[in-house]
Amino acid sequence: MVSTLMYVALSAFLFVIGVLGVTLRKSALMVFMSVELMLNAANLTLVAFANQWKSVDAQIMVFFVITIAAAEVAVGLALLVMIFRRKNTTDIDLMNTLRG
Amino acid sequence: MISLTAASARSLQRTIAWIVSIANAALVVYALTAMQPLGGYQFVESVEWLSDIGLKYAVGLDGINVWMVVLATLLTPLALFAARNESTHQKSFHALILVLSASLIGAFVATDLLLFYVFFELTLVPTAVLIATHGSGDAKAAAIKFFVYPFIGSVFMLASIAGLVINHYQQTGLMTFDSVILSGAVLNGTLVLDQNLERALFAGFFLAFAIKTPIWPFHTWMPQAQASTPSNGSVDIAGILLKIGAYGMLRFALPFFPHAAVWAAPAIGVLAVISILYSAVIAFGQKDMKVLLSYATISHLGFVMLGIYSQTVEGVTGALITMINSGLTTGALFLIVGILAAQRGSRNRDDFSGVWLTAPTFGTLTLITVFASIGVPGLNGFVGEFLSMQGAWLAPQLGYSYVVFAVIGIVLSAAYLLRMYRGVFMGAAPEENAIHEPSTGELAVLGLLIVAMIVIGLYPNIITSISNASVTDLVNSLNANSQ
Amino acid sequence: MAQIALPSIDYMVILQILIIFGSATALLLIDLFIPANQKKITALLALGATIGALVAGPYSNSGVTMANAVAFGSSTLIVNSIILFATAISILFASDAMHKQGIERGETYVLMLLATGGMLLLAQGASLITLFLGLELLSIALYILTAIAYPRIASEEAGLKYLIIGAFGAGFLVFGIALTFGATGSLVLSEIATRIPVTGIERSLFFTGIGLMLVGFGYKVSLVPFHMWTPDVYQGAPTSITSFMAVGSKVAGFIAIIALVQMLGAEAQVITPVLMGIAVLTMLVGSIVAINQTSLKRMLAYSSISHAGFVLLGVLGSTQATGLRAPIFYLAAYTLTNLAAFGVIMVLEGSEERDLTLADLTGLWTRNPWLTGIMALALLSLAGVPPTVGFLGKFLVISAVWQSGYMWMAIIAAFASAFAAFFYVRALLSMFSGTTDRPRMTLDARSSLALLIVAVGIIAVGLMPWSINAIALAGS
Repeated sequence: MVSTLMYVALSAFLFVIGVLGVTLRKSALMVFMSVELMLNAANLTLVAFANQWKSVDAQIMVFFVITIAAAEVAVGLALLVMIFRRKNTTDIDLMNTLRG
Repeated sequence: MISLTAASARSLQRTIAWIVSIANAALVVYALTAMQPLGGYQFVESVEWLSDIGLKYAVGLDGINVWMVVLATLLTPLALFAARNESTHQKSFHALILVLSASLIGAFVATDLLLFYVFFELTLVPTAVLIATHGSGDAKAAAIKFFVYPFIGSVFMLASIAGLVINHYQQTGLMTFDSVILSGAVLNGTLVLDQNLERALFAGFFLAFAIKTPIWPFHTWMPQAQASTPSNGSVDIAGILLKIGAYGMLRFALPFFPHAAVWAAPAIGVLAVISILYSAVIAFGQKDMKVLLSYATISHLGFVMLGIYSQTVEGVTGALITMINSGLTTGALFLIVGILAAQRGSRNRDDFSGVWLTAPTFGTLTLITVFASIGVPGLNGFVGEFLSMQGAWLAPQLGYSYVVFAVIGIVLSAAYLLRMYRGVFMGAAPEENAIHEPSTGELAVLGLLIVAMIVIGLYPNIITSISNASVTDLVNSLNANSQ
Repeated sequence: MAQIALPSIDYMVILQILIIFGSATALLLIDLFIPANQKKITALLALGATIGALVAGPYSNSGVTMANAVAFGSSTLIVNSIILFATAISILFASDAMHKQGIERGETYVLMLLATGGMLLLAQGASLITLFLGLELLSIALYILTAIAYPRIASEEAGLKYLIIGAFGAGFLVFGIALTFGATGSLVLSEIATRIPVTGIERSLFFTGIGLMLVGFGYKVSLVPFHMWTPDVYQGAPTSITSFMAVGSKVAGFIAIIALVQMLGAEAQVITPVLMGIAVLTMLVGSIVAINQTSLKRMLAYSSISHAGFVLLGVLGSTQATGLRAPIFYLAAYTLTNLAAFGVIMVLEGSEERDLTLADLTGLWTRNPWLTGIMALALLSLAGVPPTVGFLGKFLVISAVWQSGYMWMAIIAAFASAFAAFFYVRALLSMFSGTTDRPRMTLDARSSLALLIVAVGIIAVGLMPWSINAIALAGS
């Protein structure tokens, strides 16, 4: 039996990788993947704690998170494709039309 | 009552502007005659505003603020008069002057602290817009400065108001902004403020009022603003209505924080004296007559501050009369400069000479006004300044040394005003484009103002008979507290 | 295997949400049959749905339903009304401006309704699941709306930027929810409140979770240091959408923050000092950076950051005695004021795509006096000058904060607001000085109506603050 805290530690590790990915990677695709990593780290935690507390609430939450993440990526990729057609890049540092 | 009349009739038409301002004046004269020579507020009106935090729309008149209202209502037609030939933005001009007048009167009559604050800040908006729309030179920068300086000060007052009301609430369980209840609580000891807290709260009020008044070193916004206003003096006349700073000191800062006021009085006295001297010195070097007059105003307000912080009946009465005088005489002088500027297209005193030769009546009236402003006995300026200084002399926290410097200030003001007069009205008249007599209407208006100056000068009782009871009440409550 | 028991649902509690989501779904279908040049019909239907939901407010039942996931009460009623009011005004704005600029699409209104539904869900959320769902519904719809001005590249980039930041924030939120659940074993706010761990590793888990959730919501309401996206997105999005986003998502986000702080109860003092610091920082950064801005939309973006700091201060200053009046009133004031300001900017843009700068305001008085008047009201209200609604909001926040014992915070707040006045006044006086050769703008009936309503609101609510309380009383 692996203790719940081990799962939490693992997911915290994944979460940090996700955060670093979002902040450091330049390609929008990699950024999306890193966000997915953050959300799934949270999912892992939810499932682990749901097992500990014997509660279904958190598992329902996981389903919602998965659905929402899919919706978010669908919108994101659509936007990315539109921008790629115009600028031929997915590098978010080059998206600098807006400057104050 | 009065503020509502003006506010609701925020008309765009010139004629209506006149009717409203004159109707207001009539109303005020009626109020003046109906006034009882007693302390406390009369004509009180009070409506619940936001009852669960104790906000009220409460207004009332007493012997002190009634004179402020008189001044405001009499000078509003004067400002409209000065602008009679102004053609651009005619509509907005009249509307803005009326809004300004309404918010001023509102600030004077408000007895609810927050209501006062509302009107106090509201006066900034029409004046700043007047400067921006009608000004010359870098009017926008001047207007921004005009707005932002006093606004910063008043925000600290807002924090102080919150602090005062909350402390009152915590000590008595009553949430109210009613200035009568609050100062009453300070007087009878139901509201006791910690010494440091009292001083901090007082500082908030003082900062707001000192910037608004203005006294040195918070005055820098004023001359710049006045240099950028239209030459006919209309806006300046409206501007000298801005006696709310001094009025607020007297009505709110002192009764709420009597101990802190006594503590700070020597320092504030020094600032007042510096104001008097500094503005006299600066005015001496000014060629632009309008800017010169704005420094003269700052100098007058120095006397007002001295009188108020003497916390004696004489001093406070003197301060009150000086506020009225400053409105009357400086108003008349702005009108005169406006008349001169309209004929010559310049306000530089070097561009004029020998006006007396071609316009003797105008010259005589101007001379009397200048004398009134200097403080020649027999005219109104003397009464106010004398009483202020007498109060300062008698006050234990101030004393005669302040008076000595103030007298030097009077001498200096005589010097710069007479120098301006000599340069403009004396000497040889130019061969062409000589200044001619202004119209009969203009002379008549000046004459009326001068009659008022002479009446106050010879018979100051006309003011003190009404104000005395209120002033005595106020001073007694201050003295009862500070002991 | 035990039968799964479905929770009972009181449909009257979620009446407003049902109306909005129902009509959004229906409208998506109806819009198929509306020709491309007649999209104002869609706008009209969406407006009808919004007003219907607004009217339905007082008829909703107070209470909690759907297994403690959704609640409704008198303060929810006020918040929902603010949100629906903002939506109605924004639909009016959008249908005028987008038509003029040739970017009107039927989906716009459907998406606005969906976003509104998300906001309502957030406002009524009584469980962390609902809060998460509401936030995401609102966000995803707004990502698309931000980018809807295709083929404007600025709009698309703004959309993508908003999406990346939003998803990043959502990651924090979900992880925070997970940790909070781990520490307490519940996702329902009222249950969590009774199970806050007092010691041990659970307690640190719990407060880490709360902190991460606040980071998530902090992105949404643009608190410093989570504010960097705000100016870019506000500038890039079509102006009618910017006003909707600035108002709606901020109101909804703050309601969620209020719910969290209330859930903590007395334990809130653990995080209060940090939040106070963030509030002050937010106010100052917003005010100071705004001074250098020339773009009007960026200026309003920084102004909205600074106002977010004020609201947060109001939330922290709210005690049992004062209740939530200060922050909620401030949000109402913020809503009216920003709708007016963005509305005027939108009208001034006309059919152009150009980003307006401060210089474009010069001499506005001589060409559009009424527009100038409304903009002046909005700017004065933003600066907190009486008798506008912004003044009363500012005053309520300052006194609430002082009353709960944070005297210095009240003074700093006063200082920050005085500092911020500078750029509002600069914009205000620009309109009244100088002249311009730009043409007079003509107003469509829809924009005129919307602007008139908000302008009257700024004055009327400022003078008669009880009008907002009256809405609450009508529901109880």
